[in-house]
Amino acid sequence: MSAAAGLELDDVTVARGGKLIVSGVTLSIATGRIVAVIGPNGAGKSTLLAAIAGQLPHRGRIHWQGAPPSPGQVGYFPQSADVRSSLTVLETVLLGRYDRLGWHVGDADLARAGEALAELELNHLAPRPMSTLSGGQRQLVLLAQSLVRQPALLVLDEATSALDLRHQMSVLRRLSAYVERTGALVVTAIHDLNLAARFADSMLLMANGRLQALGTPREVLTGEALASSFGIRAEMLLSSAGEPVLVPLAPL
Amino acid sequence: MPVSASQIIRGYRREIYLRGVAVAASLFALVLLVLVDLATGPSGLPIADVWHAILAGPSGGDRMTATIIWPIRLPQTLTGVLVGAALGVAGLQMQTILDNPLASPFTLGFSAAAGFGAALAIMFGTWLPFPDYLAVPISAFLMTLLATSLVYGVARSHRATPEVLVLSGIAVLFFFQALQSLLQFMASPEVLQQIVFWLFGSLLKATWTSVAVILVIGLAVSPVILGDVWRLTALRLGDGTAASLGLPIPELRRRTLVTVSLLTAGAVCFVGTIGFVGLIAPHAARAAVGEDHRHALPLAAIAGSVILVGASVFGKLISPAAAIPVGIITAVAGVPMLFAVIISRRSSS
Repeated sequence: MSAAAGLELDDVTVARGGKLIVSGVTLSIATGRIVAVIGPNGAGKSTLLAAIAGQLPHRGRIHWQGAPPSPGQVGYFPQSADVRSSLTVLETVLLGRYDRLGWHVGDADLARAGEALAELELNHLAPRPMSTLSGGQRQLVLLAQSLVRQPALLVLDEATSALDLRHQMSVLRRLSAYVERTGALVVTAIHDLNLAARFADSMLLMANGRLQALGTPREVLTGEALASSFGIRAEMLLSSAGEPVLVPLAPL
Repeated sequence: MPVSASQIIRGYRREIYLRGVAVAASLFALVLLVLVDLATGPSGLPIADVWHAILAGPSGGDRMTATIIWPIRLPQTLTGVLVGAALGVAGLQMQTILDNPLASPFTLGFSAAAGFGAALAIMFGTWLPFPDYLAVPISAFLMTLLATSLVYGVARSHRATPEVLVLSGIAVLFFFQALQSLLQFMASPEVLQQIVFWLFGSLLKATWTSVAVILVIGLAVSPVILGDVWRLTALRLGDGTAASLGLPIPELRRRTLVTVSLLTAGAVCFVGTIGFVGLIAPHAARAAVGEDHRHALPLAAIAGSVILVGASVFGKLISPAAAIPVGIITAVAGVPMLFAVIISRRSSS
């Protein structure tokens, strides 16, 4: 294993309900970056992420820094994440560290939860019950819950899907800062290809349960890849900052 | 307005303090209610006399008061406290693992199993090598554990989801209800009367043995319940989110199922089926102190005790000569409480 390779998948195959969802994925990704997992609906993105996070049984090898990832190393935000109970926002974030809390919750744990809330500008919501928040606010709180674990490997499945554009950008910017500060690896499924191209260091394109491409946004987001995987005709432009901008033209 | 980390910590500490006050205040109310229950009965006693009789011990003080309090009322009242606490805790745990606000300790058929066990011992107890007063609770206890093992077996062989647990519990419920009905059909009128009286749920059956057994079961399962306090709170996040945190949900559900069944079996085997306590007490606790099981568990226990001892006092007040079984009172009082829960949930959603 090379020192830089954080996440290594070797011929990973995942079946659900007897059906093959992810097939023969082999890849190696270095730590200290954001990797956007893209692909059309039903491509196997969520299943692959759940397997990486240890939530689904799989065949093949998934290693994080040379060994199977332990629950303590991984923060996982599932696509279906939601909380309807009357737990408060602060309690919900604290529960991100439920396995480390004693009967008395110390100031250090509270401060850490407070920092995670502040990171996503949620501290004013701390005493509010989760059931009173909007869908987007609940999503942000659960993201804070993932961050409070300070995972070295953060696996997010459409963690910004319920957010407005400003909050999506804000979250992605904060994830970049988190990666820079901690050297973590963030693997996130995201549907907005332009946002993905703007914030991700690498892109992983899935289609039909198979890995189609892995590289920089400019390498992955090609007209051919978009046509074969997404079934769309699109034009790729470059922004004034030199970042790829996708202009969808028509479905094929 | 920005809120600093120190403000968040102060706010949390204040909230925890208020929850502690709520638990302490409920405990104080329970102590008062216990004294009132001890003072209430066919021969009414001043609370001061009750207090002195307790302090003087079984053989001291006024003989008549001691004779009423120590062998008769104290075991009944303490059994009420312990059964209420057991049902309150079991109800909170059941609602948590089944993710269902209408779940109770009896949702998975435990009461039907206990009822069948009791009926079996009442009918055929004379053939057993125990006296009647032990045969009935032992049989009820064992049948409850048998019902648990059936549900546990299904949860073990399939995924321990709330749906699987509830469906297998419903099957167990109908099975034991059918057996119970069969015994009632076969029983002579005298035996049938005894079975029906057992099913009412009454503290009149309580003895110091029941106090000791329920207490021992409670103390035995306490380390498991207290050890899972954060896991159970995390389960309130919902299965998807809790699993994403690495919570071992199937193991937690199965372990909690066993503790619930032991608490429920211990509670009902001596006094019979007492409905609604295990349904209402958890709601009262959560409404007062929230979802954190560090506070909701003790408050659900206290609320269960308050409801049951309160029902006992009420039963003795409206019919001093022949106290109405608490099971009937909690069932009648539970219906409006259940409507209140349903309406409050509708309005909050």
